[in-house]
Amino acid sequence: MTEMVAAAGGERKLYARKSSGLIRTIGVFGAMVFGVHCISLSSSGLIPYSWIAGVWPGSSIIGVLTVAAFFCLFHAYTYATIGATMPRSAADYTLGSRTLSPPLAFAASWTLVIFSAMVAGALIAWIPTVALPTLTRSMGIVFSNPSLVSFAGWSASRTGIIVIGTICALITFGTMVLPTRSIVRILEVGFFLGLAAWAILYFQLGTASSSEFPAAWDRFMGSGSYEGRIALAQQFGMVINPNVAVMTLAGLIMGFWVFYGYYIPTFFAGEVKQAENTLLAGSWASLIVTWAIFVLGALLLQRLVPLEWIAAESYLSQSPDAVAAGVTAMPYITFYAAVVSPSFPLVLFVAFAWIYTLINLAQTYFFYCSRIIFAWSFDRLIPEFVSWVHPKLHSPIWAIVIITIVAEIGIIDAATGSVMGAQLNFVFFAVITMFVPVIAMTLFPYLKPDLYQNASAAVRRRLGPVPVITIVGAITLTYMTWMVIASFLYPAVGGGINSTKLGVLALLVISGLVVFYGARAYRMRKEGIDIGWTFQSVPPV
Amino acid sequence: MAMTRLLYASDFHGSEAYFRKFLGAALHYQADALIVGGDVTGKAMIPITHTGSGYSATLFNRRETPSTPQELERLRQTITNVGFYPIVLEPDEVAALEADSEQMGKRFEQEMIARLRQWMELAEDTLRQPNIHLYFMCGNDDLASMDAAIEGYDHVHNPDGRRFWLDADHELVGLSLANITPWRCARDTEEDELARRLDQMAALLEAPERAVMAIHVPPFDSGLDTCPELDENLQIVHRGGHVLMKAAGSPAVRQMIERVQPLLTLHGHIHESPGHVRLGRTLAINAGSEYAEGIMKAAIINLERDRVKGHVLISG
Repeated sequence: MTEMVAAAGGERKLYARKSSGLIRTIGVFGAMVFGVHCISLSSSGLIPYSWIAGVWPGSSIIGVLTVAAFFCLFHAYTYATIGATMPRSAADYTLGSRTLSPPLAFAASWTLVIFSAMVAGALIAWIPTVALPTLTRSMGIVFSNPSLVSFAGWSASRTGIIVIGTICALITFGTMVLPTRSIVRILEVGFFLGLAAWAILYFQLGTASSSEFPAAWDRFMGSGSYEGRIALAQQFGMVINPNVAVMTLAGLIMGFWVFYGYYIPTFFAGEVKQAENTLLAGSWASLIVTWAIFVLGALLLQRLVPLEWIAAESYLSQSPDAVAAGVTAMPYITFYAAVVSPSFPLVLFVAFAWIYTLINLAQTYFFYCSRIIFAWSFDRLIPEFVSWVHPKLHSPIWAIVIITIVAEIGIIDAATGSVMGAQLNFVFFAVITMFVPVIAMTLFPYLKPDLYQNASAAVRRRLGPVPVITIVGAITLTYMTWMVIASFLYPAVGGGINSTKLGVLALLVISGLVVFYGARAYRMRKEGIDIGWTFQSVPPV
Repeated sequence: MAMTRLLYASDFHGSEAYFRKFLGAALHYQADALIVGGDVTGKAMIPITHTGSGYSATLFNRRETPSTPQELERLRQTITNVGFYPIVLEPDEVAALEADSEQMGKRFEQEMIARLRQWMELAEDTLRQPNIHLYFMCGNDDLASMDAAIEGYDHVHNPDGRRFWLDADHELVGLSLANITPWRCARDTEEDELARRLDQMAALLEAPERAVMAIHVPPFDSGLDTCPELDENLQIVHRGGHVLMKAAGSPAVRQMIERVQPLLTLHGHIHESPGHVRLGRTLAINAGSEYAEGIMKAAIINLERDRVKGHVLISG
């Protein structure tokens, strides 16, 4: 039962018994699909044109996207290495708890999960708040259908958000209780649907000529609307500033806002095959794919209209004064495409794909939250029933029920004025929770030298005497620190972080610590087991 | 009430780092007894060829060229820690070994026995003073000749097909066999033979309701036995771009557990399915394995007379 295994070139490398061989499930393509959906071809697909353009008028959209993606590459490397170091569910929590501090790692993970589920709800609320109104209003305007415009208004009302949001949450729940294989298929379908929708947008924008756009715009938005857009925005305070430094600054701030999600396979690294390669390839691929999709959209859009005009339309949609004055702004790439090529089937297809991929976005949050909950349950920090797996569906029903309930709270929060501001503050909250695992990874070679020496070659890369992960981790930490500072410096981006929101964050972290120490005390008394053992490294004899 | 603390692990597959950490954990967690659930031998030998001025070997697709005795020793230790067997050979020995598969097999067996004996001596030395007993069993991947290497120690015992008392209340029996695997390993056997041997094991027990059974293969469809499906060429089966997973445990083991209802069953075999499950009143545990990373995965189990008081899976 012995065989020789030859390396490339015929050199013999080892003599292996035939019973060797091991395995995991999600490959590079699967990891990329998860990353692309969590970034989102739909919600993030709107941000560069509807938000970035107006917050930094005059800055190159492509430049901002490129700077943003570039810095995310370092963060992606750090998280891929976390997954390669601890290739199991909730690799970030696992590494942080084994390397730095179990209670802090759990509190960070707890906060991330609760807030992620809230954000999933807020993202679901995007469907009635933004996606449906944008699409139905676009279709209503383009196809002269007042009832569609009226539906858009109802959809974005409090009742509309709760009703449609709850329906979408139930759809998400219904799909998430399916077997993992079915979920992955649903995501793959969404990936290709999203690509097809973008191909349609490219077709619509790419086949129109720049001379057609003003007339097409005016046809739907009123005569003279196109021509007066920049002046109108300037009247409400817009200042064009095509400064490269401003563009770089914008890119430094917008990385997580546009591209957040590429690294989520690290949360289910236990299901990723060859984690040391797949996580990095998958996360970088999802970053590059989405960057390319959005950049191509910007290129084609700028073929039709100047950058300043895109900035003006975006600015008008964000200016409270302009909104109060009754200015209707439609800074959405889907709308731009629809006005130059008003084909009902194409617009309908894009609308369907947009909503489908928004649900995919929520599904990725549900998916990674359920895996993290699994990891807690595996360490027996939470009751076992939470990780009960349905015998036929092979899905963790109770974990998904809990996430759905928290997501519903997120929907209601979004509908009632966003007390927690789940979506707008997500980057701030997410970055705060990342500090524990990223510090753990950066210092891992020094805090756990025995594990580091036995880690895969990808983890042990060095640049001279210093481990690469320490260098990249330090860059990532610097970037994350900047993101926190930027959340306070730029309210337009940070969503206005106030004492209430900081209090909510503190409450979540403290509740995580209470759960940790509560579970520890309970199990010590009831079972004679110290859950602290789970996190200890044992010295060899 | 008196409590007995067990430390359980399996599937070391030759990893010295794993085994040494396991012994270290016995002291660290103050275990009363240690149980090893099989598959203790490694899967590959790494030839380190003497090149005259130094040595040459390939480990994980990376060429290693130690040139000093210290570097050579470090490489040997690295190879040993991940579970492989380093063998230092002259070039003509390499050629001779590769030309003779029988000789290759014998060399492999010698290396496996030698390491097992080293481990047993280390365990005996480490566990004598605290008077902890190690119940060390082979698994389906271990050649039959490995059993002899476990014999002859005061604090190390082989529970395969035998009964031991862990304390005044709890008996331990073990079974190293597994149902047929795609690799046709040394101790693979048909389900009916497995059922027969399980019946023999159960018949050894005086108080099955308080017994611990170390059975290498986990019960079928228990969640402790999920692994990728393989085709006839031992390649992982993909469908729609995804790996097909299947339950690879033994129906005979499951039926026996459901019928006998021991207090605790301990399993290994399927590295990627660590966890615990209740089958009736029986708690079944698979500690999993990450031997190639040198990470110890184990379970700590607190036993009271009639119940498992608590348990936790650890890794480090």
